[in-house]
Amino acid sequence: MPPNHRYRKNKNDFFVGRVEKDVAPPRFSGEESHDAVSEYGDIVFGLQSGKHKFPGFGLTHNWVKRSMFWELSYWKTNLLRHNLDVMHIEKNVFENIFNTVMDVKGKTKDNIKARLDVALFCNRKNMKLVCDGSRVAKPRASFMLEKNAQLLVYKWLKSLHFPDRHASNISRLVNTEECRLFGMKSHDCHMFMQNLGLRALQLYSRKLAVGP
Amino acid sequence: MDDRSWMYRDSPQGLRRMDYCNGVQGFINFATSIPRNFTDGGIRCPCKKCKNLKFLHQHVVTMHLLTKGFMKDYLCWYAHGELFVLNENMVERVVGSTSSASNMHEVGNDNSNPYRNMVMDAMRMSEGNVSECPIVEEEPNADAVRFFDMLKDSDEPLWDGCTNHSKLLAVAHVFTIKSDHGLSEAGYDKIIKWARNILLEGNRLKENFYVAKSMMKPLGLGYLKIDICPNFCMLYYLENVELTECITCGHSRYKPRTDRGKTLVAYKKLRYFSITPRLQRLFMSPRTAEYVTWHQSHHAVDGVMVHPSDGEAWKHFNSVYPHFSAESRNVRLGLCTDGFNPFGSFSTPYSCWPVILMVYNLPRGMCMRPEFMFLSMVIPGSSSPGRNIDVCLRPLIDELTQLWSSRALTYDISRKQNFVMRAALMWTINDFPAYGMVSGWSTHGKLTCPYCMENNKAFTLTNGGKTSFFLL
Repeated sequence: MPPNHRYRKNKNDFFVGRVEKDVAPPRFSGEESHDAVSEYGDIVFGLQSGKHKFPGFGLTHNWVKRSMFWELSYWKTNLLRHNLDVMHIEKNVFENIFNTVMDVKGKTKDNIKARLDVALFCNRKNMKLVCDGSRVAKPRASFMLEKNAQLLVYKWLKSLHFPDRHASNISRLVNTEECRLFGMKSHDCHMFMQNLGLRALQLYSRKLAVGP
Repeated sequence: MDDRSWMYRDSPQGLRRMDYCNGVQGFINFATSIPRNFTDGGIRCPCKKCKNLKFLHQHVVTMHLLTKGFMKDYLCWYAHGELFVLNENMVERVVGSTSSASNMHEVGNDNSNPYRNMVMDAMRMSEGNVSECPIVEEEPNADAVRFFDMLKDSDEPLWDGCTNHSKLLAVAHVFTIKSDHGLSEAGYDKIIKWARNILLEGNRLKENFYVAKSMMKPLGLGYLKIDICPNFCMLYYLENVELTECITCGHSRYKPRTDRGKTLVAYKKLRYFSITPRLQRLFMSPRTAEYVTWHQSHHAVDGVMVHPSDGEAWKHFNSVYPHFSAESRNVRLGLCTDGFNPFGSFSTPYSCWPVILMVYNLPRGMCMRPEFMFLSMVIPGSSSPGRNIDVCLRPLIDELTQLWSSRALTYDISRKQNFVMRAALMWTINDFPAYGMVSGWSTHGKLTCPYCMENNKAFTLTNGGKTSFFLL
């Protein structure tokens, strides 16, 4: 985030009373990482390898072993040594966002515990749990769609047609009665995030909550 | 090379120009002047239909060329004894036509019979080895000899007078059926027995699975079975190959012998598919050899990344190792691995780990296709190897080290040359848990992020119990 971004100084919407002044941590080069992990020596593989810990593990570092790839002489000069599977992550992000916005029971990330944590750290009055005698009510968050809007989205998804081989037949994956999506593959999630998602949200959401 | 523009000039109203006719005559003269071009009394026909795959009499070849024209991109007559010269125009055309999967389609379809292609590829490779390359000829090349046996087998018709099936073709067909439908070995043998009965007397169909398999073996690309300690302590490999007990945990290597069993059965076996012959095969097939240099010859547009070779990491690698990058045929690999349950159901917890290598030299339409993803090893289940994955990767790392330093002599069919191939592993691609396994930086707890490392401000949520990184 740029040093003058307004979210850095926002004391109300995020962590209460906190101004973030730190910049991103330095990035270690391949040689530095190699030297750091080489200090700890080798481990014995097998049943005991999980119990073995290098001194300072979890506090000053998270190294568990000296990876075999360091044995390749060119490995430490490579800029990108390990990469993450983007499609996989995109699928996870899609599922979390979709299930939260559509308030899918059991899948939404906006659960009771999250609300309790929000109340601890942030100043969001409309997201506080409301105690009504022995019952606890969870007020609807502003980023959640209303029930009829949700139904509209599902109906819209049900009516979609795609060109051949663009995505799987999404209308087949929609269950309008249960208000759920079933069997979305990672490519479908990608297509949703890139093409449909924004449009669906623009059409049916009233106003997104403030968020970075 | 003399002017070859006549080869692809449009002819008005379907009539051939005079210079085309003269050119074809010149081509025939050139091809017939080299005795090596003749096989069974014919030369390769480079017309649009035959595409250098058929050997025909020179008069027939002339007729084909006059009626059908030359095949695409045959400016250099490399199949008729001309040395391959990479000409700028040709590179352009290759690049232009490589951009999409449709090209792959074309490559696959230029001959309707894939089994035939397989043998033709092998044949061309062995011919090249013997006739054009004195270096290989000098060495006792056992592979080439095996290929020749294979070639002889493939040419022999199934029975005398049979035109559409050779011995190899028949076996390859039945093998495909066997693997497609999970036919047992006994079932295979019975079908073959029946087929031999209905075929003509004196047919050459291999009598059972065992014999057929040994016939297919010279095609190569086998794999190595390495016994492994069930607790992933060690491989019974190289210096430890004779051991019967694990050094670390003392677990027995073999299952207890049953009364009837005569052979020793290991608890766990790692299947290792050596990568070098597979990479070499890329260069030996004319269908793929020319594309291996694509990463260098394609024209990158500034700011647009269409291929990893446009990226910063690739360029950095080039600048650090100029010797490696000077040879565009050197191979750059990516490694992917993830847990996989072959039994399809989540109720049986079983996770075997296939390790797959990708060849990033190939054009973007090809390098992510299943044909060019090389399965390097299968780490057996039932549990994930976890951080012990290093034990299993040992043979692969050894081979990669070798490919980086000592190199492998490879025959490149597109240029008809021998060259020493080197290979480098550029990066690995995994999901996040597997990232921890291969990189050695645990991806759990507060220090999860391998970039921020210990410089982060993560904290545990009081109620959610999870780690949060959003301190803002």
